[in-house]
Amino acid sequence: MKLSQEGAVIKSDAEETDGLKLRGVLDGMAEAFGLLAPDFTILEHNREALRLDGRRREDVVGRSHWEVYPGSEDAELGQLLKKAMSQRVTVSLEHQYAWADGRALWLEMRAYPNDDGSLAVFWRDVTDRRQADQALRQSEERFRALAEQTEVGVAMADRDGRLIWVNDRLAEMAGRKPDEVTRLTVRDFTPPGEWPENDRLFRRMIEEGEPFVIEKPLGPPAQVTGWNRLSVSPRRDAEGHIVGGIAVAVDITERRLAEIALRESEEQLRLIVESARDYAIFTMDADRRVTQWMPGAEAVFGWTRQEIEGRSADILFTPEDRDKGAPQWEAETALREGKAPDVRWHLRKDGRRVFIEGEVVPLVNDRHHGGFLKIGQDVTSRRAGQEALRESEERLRQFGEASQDVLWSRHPETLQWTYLTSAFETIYGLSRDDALRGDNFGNWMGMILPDDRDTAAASVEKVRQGERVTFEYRIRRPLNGEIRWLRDTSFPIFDDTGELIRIGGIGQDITDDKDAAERMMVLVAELQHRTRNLMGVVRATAKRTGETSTDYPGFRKRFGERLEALARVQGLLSRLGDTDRVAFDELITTEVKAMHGSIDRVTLSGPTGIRLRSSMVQTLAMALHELATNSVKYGALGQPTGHLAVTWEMAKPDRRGRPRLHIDWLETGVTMPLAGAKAQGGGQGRELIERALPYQLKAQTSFDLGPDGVHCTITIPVSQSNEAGQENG
Amino acid sequence: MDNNALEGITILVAEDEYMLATDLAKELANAGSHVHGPVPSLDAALGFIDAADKIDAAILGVSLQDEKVFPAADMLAAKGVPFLFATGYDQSLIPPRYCEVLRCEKPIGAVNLIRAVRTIIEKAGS
Repeated sequence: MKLSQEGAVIKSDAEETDGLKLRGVLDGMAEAFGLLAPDFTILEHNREALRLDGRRREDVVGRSHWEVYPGSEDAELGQLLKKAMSQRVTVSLEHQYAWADGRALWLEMRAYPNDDGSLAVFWRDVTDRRQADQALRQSEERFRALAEQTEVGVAMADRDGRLIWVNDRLAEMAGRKPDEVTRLTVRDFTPPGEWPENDRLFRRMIEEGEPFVIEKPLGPPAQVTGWNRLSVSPRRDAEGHIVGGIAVAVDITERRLAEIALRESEEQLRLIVESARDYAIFTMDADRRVTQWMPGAEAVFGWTRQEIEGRSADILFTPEDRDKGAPQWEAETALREGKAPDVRWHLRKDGRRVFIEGEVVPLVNDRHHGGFLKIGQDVTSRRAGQEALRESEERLRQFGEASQDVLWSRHPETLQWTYLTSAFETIYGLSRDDALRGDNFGNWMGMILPDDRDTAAASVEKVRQGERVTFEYRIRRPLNGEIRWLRDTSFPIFDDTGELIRIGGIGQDITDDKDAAERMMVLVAELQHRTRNLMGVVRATAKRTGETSTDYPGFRKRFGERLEALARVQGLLSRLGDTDRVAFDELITTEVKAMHGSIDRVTLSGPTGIRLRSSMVQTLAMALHELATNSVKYGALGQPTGHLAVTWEMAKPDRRGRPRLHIDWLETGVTMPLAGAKAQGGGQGRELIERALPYQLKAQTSFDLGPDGVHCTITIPVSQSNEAGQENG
Repeated sequence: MDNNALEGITILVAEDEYMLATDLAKELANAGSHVHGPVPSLDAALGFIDAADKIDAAILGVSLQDEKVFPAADMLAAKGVPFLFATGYDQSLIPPRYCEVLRCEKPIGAVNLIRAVRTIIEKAGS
């Protein structure tokens, strides 16, 4: 039925019965109805309209709408009703109206113009709906504000698992951009491995309303490894039908990692405790009775769990330690210090002894003394090995320390000494503590003479490359500047895998060897010198002897004698040590004895032990030989009445302060040849005395043929050592 | 042997062994030369070299009464006087700076001695 027709009917006065019927219909409507004349006079109000107004019919009908509803003319409602009346259009409005008695209702209004110029107006109370809508809107706004701010991730999905909304935090947790999320499904926030379980739980929630909790990464993007705990609940509409789910997600990554770490460490501990058969682990009560006995303890001590639990753990100590009160001491110390070492021999069930290295700690339950935990390792075999090793090391150490050569090793990279024996101190004149201080390779290099450093450095480098090297170098002792020659034999030391772990070496002080070699070279040179000089002397002697000989037998005799004299001198010289000197008394005695004359006509007197310089012995001996030879032939030693007196003494030093020996050769009782006769023996004796000794030995000499024999004096510088050695003479 | 091989030549002989020194001097004189010395010591040799108007050559024993002759050798070299060493020593004991100096090992025969002296004089003159 068209309302405009209803209006037209009402307007007609012809059918009163129809009018009454119509009123009945209008009054039966749930909606308020009113009919307005073109001048806004109220023509009709139905029952519902009167109920909403709280007024009677006669108070309303016939009066102006603007009077009946004060304030409505200028309000939006008035504007629209006027518009509908004048322009003949339908209008509608939802508005709030307050009555004079203070009531205010939200009204939904529609107005339709009728053909007769009136306006049919319908309205109804929508206050309840409005309030519900508003409450919902406010609630949703509050929720969103909360969801966007929170650290908690929130997501909403429909029944098929399609996401319809997530907050920023959840997008962040999932490693997604917020705007891409609504094209995704719950599976996109679940690692593929979790899909079956996640799907099952989600479906059950949708169908049975069962909420669920699941922990998972919000993958699948590879970079998302964090773990989250999701609480998922059903979302229902106004009728209580499940329209989807809402999930609240919390980041539990840290908790999860901690759990994993804990689980792993617990597992490790379990493995250690179970697998370490040589670890004895057991617990005791406050009275040291065994309360728990692990398999390792059985393996170490030989007691089974059944045998020992409840018994005193003191039986594990040796009788000696028990007598000394070790078990009590251990428990008391553990209580006082928080732990006590247990490193000692223990007793097995079978009476054998095992060496345990371990510790006892008190078990504290709620701060009450709850007994003890003992953890010990059976190190018996290791200890035996260590003792053997220690012995072997000790032997090696003693060997190294006793050696006169320095044994050393260095780290192959840092080149710092790792081992150095005490011979170092003797050779370098420096304590090991000082030597090992600081960069000791650099310090060692500093002690090497600059000329030898390159050799030493290159040799060490060769050893680092795996070669064996022997090299010689000189060091300057830091304390007294003394220079020592060293010979170092160095070698690389490898471990079982062929890795260079050390370089080692043996350093030998070869200074004395070097000195000896040098001295030997000097001696050889000296010997060369003497030999060649001697050859020259022999040659010259032969020549002179030849020049003064009249026949070959005479030459052979005299030359032979002279060679013998030279040989005697060489014999004296060759017996000498390095620092020995020929003494004058030895020389004169040797020479006189060699003469076959009568020794009883000879007087030798003077101090013994006056040392002659080696370089002068030969010349002086030859001069004395000539004197003696002549004396045998022509003088005191050849004539029965003759007498030879040789006296000697130390004379005043010469200008240079050198000590001097004065020799006096005096022959007496000799029948002299006629003056002008040919010089005795060719004059060679005289030449030696008068010319050779001054020339060669800086001697002062005289040679006189007296009436009854030769008188010869020789004053000659001798070895410097006679000054200090005088008292020995 | 040419008796006048060293005619007009003045030679210094430094040798501490009297027998060798007099022997050398006699040989050189026989060859016509005038001999300075012989001298037995370094001091004497240095004195001779310093004072002599004319030295044409020198024969130096390496060791003179426990002293080495090298200062005298250096002095001769500075004066441009040729010399030779009469030595019983191994070459290694003579300083390297004299490696060019002629060296006669003792004992020295007269023929070799005169030839050696002529050699060093000619070499110095060339």
